[in-house]
Amino acid sequence: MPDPQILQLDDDFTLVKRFVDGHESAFNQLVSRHKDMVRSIIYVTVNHSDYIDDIAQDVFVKIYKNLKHFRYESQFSTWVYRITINKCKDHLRKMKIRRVFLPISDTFEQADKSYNHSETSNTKEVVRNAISKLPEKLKIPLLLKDIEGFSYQEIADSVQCEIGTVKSRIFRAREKLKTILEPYKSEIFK
Amino acid sequence: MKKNINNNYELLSAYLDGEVSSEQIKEIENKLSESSLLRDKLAELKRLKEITNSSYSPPPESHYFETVLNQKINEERKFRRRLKSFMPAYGLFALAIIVILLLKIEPIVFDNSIHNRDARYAGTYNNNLKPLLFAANLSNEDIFNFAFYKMLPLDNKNKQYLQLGTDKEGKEYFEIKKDPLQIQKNNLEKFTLALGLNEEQKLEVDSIIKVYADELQEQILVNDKNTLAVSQNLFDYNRALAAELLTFAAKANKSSFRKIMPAGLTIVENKSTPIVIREIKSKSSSPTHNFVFFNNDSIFTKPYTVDKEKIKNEIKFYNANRNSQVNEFINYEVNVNLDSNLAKIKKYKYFNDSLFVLFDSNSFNIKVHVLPKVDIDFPNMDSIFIELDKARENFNEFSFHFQKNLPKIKGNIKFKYSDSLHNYLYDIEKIKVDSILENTFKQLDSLKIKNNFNFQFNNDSLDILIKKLPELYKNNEWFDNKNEVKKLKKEIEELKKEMKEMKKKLNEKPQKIKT
Repeated sequence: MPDPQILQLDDDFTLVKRFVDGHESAFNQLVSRHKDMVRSIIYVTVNHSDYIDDIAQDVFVKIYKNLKHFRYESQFSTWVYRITINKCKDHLRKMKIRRVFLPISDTFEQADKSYNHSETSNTKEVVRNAISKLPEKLKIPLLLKDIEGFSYQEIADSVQCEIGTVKSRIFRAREKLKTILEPYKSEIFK
Repeated sequence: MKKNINNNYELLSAYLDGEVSSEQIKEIENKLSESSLLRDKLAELKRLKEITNSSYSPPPESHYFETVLNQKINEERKFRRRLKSFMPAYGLFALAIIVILLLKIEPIVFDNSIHNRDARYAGTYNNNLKPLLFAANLSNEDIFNFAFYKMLPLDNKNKQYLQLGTDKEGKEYFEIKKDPLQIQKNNLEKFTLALGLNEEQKLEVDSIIKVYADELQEQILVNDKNTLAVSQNLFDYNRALAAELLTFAAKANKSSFRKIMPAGLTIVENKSTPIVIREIKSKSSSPTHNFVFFNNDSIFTKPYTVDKEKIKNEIKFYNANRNSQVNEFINYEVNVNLDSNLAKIKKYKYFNDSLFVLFDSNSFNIKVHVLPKVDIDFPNMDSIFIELDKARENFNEFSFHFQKNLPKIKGNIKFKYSDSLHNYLYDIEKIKVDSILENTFKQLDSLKIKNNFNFQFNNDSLDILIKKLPELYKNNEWFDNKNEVKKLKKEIEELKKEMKEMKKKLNEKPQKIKT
């Protein structure tokens, strides 16, 4: 009877090492492990399903190119999320610039219309629109916490700031969100 | 107060997220039990968290995500491979850019490297340099010709000589040539005769020349490694000597000076001229100055300190043993091997910041542009130099004569210079008599600009025109048979008469001429 295979605690590192040693298949395993989280972060951050795969693929191409330089100083996932957040920021910046050069009618970026327009979905759309109006530095920590369930430490590592700053930003994001949603107070806070 | 509330709320938000310590939990829960405001706030934050969380559904599935990603990665791999194959080209390109930038920012880097190489040569070649000019036994006549014709013989037999010049851009150069210019002889004697100098004044001219002759001996040096070193100070000496002789001539005999300089010369009256001469002399007599070194395979410039005492001893020794042929440089001849690598590489041209060497012909002709470095701000230097050059042009005009035995060629006349590869063709047929006369009168008119002049007409040149030209060109059909020639003869005869009358009138009593 063969010995039971012992699973290593930090399997990401093993996969990275295998990739560096020339096993290309290890990269595919890393992709399948982190793909969903990466796509989810992109989805909530850019608030548009059309861009998810393009950005996510850019993220993994970048990881593929730089994996040999990974220094094992942080968790692999943190490194991946940091790259993802930076790619999202790049995308949002590009969209901002593009909006400057487009006619007004085209600049209004509508919220994702893949949702049903029922009453409930309307409330969700209102909330998503309100979140999209938050400044980037408040919005990203809030989403990473409330949607992705990251700890403050993980958020701090991903956006490269102090835990205290994360705490403060999340609180400020909630306060600002409350202000934006003030007109819908009776429906949302019932 | 407000800040405190905010801090409490922030802590409440962290409490909601489960990001506070157990001590903080106790503290917060105590406060919550006491304050309805805090409880309301917590409820509000909780609701906000809930609605945020529930507003987003999971992202839509992507069935081909890995497939598309693999395609992208494969493309990336191919691109990287292609990029690697071009690495050497990128390297060369980057190197070229660096060199261009370097030359743009520090253009002297390249020159310096050449200069350093040349300096290494210098160490080998500038040993044991001895004065060359004493070997040429320079006469006062030679020094005088140096002043006004800018040429210096380099050997006893006048096989080689050094010629100073200025090119069209105004850059000074010197050449080493084999055959001397066709200049008239006994120029110094003619100079003293024309000025009507007495014995004492002649001695004074000789003493001026003597001072320069001594200094000049330190300006051209040679050694046993066939190195010739020519000082760039020669140009300054040349100017100073010419200026000093002309100033002296003007003072010695003002009216006769007009014979030499019919149009007059302002520098002889300029108060700054003696200062310029003095400055040039003091600057040039310093032991260290720039020399241009020539030898078989290299040409370079370098500051060199002349051992004045040693050179004086050399000259003394030479003069004491003049007839014993002890001096090894008596028969010195400058030789630059045109087949050497230098000439091959540079294709007869070699230049850097201070030199432009042109190998003009097989018979040896080096032209060296020298950029004079004037350290002292001389008063009115430029105006004096310009006028000196004009004065020297006058000298040439008054000494001009037709060379004998001109080649007899129909149509064009071909001048061949013995020291050049090039022949110079002059299309004689295109020269019209009218233009010759017009040009002559223009020159005469220009002399009238100066009032109170005493004009001395040189008969010889017109005589040559009248007598020698038909003889010289008797075999050229175009000359004798054309009406133009007859017209020329007639016009020249008339001109000659007019000139004689004018001369007679002017010599009687100097007077102002209204122009």
